[in-house]
Amino acid sequence: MNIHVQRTVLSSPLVKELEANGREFDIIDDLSEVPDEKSEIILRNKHDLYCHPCPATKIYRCCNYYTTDVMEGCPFDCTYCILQAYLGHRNIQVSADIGSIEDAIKAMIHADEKRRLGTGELSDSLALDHIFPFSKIITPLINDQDVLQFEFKTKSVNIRNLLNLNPKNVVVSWSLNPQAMVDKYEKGAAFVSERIAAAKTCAEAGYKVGFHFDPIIYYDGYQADYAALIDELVANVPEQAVAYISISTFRAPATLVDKMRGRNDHYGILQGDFIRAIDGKMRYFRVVREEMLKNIYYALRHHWSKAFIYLCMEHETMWKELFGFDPGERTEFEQLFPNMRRGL
Amino acid sequence: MPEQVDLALCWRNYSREKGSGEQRLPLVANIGDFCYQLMIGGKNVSAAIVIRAISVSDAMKASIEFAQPDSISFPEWVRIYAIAADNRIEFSWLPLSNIIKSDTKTYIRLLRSASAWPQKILTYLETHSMPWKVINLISLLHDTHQQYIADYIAKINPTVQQFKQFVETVTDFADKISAATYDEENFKLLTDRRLPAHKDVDELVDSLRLPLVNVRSADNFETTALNFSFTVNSSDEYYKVLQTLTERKSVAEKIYEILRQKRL
Repeated sequence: MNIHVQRTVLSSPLVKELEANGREFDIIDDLSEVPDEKSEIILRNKHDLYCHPCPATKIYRCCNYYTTDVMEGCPFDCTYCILQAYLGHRNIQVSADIGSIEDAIKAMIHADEKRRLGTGELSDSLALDHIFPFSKIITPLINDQDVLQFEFKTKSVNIRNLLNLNPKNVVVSWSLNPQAMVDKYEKGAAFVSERIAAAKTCAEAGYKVGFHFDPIIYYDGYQADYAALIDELVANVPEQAVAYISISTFRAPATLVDKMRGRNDHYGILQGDFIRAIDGKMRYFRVVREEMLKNIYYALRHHWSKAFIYLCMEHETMWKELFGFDPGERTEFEQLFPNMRRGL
Repeated sequence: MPEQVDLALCWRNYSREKGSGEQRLPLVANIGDFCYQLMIGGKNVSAAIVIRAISVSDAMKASIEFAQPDSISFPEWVRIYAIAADNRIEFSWLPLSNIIKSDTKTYIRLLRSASAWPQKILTYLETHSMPWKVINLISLLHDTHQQYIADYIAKINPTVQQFKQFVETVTDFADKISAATYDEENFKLLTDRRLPAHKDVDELVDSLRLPLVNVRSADNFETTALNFSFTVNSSDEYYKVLQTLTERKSVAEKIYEILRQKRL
């Protein structure tokens, strides 16, 4: 990968980190000097809001997660990735203003209100942690605050920095799909067995770990593949280490479907039976979603009776069907998470 | 200057009948030492506007400006590109930035790709305005699938909407389509979404039929909301509809019974 540093951020601690590790970089004045490719990383000025509520779609239930945008873009090239439609660039843009990032995280602290936040929304939280060690910057900050829980969400096995840190208040999570899907649709990401092994290592190091079965993709034989994946997961990771598990089926706004069709690796994923859902996104027909979610949920529950499992961006009626209740809107929903009750 | 002769031939070859028989695009002809810009829409050479051009590229540029770039269709740009390529003329001077939404590099890639498409597709696109994203999808397909689309055009003569959906479906199922010849039955078989939802939807849609009243799911059965709509031209028709709705209350009950059974 090629690293470019905006001239205005040369004093950033992240530049010192690059220099200390002997990483080569060139200095640029303008972002337009850098090719718009995934191989290009730009350390840049950024003055946007760093922490903000997850831009959830209307009507479907949202868990009130806060995203911390320290990086925009991802070195992995997943076929179904929403960033293709959401970001206007393919290159990876890293915020150099550590002070502002720390301030933004501190601003999330409210004595009587716990919050969950993470860096995995606009990038992979750990894929570039060996170059830009945000885990080392953010974790100590979070560990000082009892009301914040921070998630590093990844498809990588880049956990080395984490193993030297105190795991308090930090959850490391992995997106999981059967290896057949990883091979087809998750270009550059770690093998799923490696991800599970990394989760095991983090659990052994004292971290709470999370898993995101999202997006679950429908194909002939998906049940058996997901069941095998879950078997492998539960055989390696102790339930006590699990902070939460999310499950959700593949969904995509029309702009993403267009992007996916423009790739040569979408075969299979767009062959489902889609409807335009209430939020305008293409989703599997409700009956199909229900079947898929139930399959995954019961397969997990069969092994793990206590782990907190939730649906990401699903309709309240789906919650009622699977769990027998409606989780409610953001803050109400959030309180279902372990250790997230207000005032605690 | 042989290039100029080639250019004139290309443009002449492009000439075609459209609708009332008019020719849309200007022609560039090489007569004597000059390139001539011929009037749009006129077959009669005597109606020509004459532009002196000192080079082939100048003649092309004059032609394009005369035709107005935003009125030139995609297939027409394909031909212009081919002429430029044949004459080793840099394409960058063409006034593309005003008419394209994608970047020039992408557009030129599209034109290069399209110059090898089956003629049937280009002919279809001349008379059917198509979104760029559909044209882009065609460019990304394998030759066999482009031929498959051409064959579909020949057999079906689709509307724009049909064509758009067809191209998207061929794109989605390209890994399952190996033939270059379109066969309706076979296509349906290949692209049948084999999820259990279809049967449910069909059953529900069947159950929603009411005389005079259009009933449909408000949100693809995501919730139990149904839209009942009707059109009337008189108070008599209005009362007829009301009567139907009242008499067929059992249909609504049946619909909701099915929704319950389907856990919708």
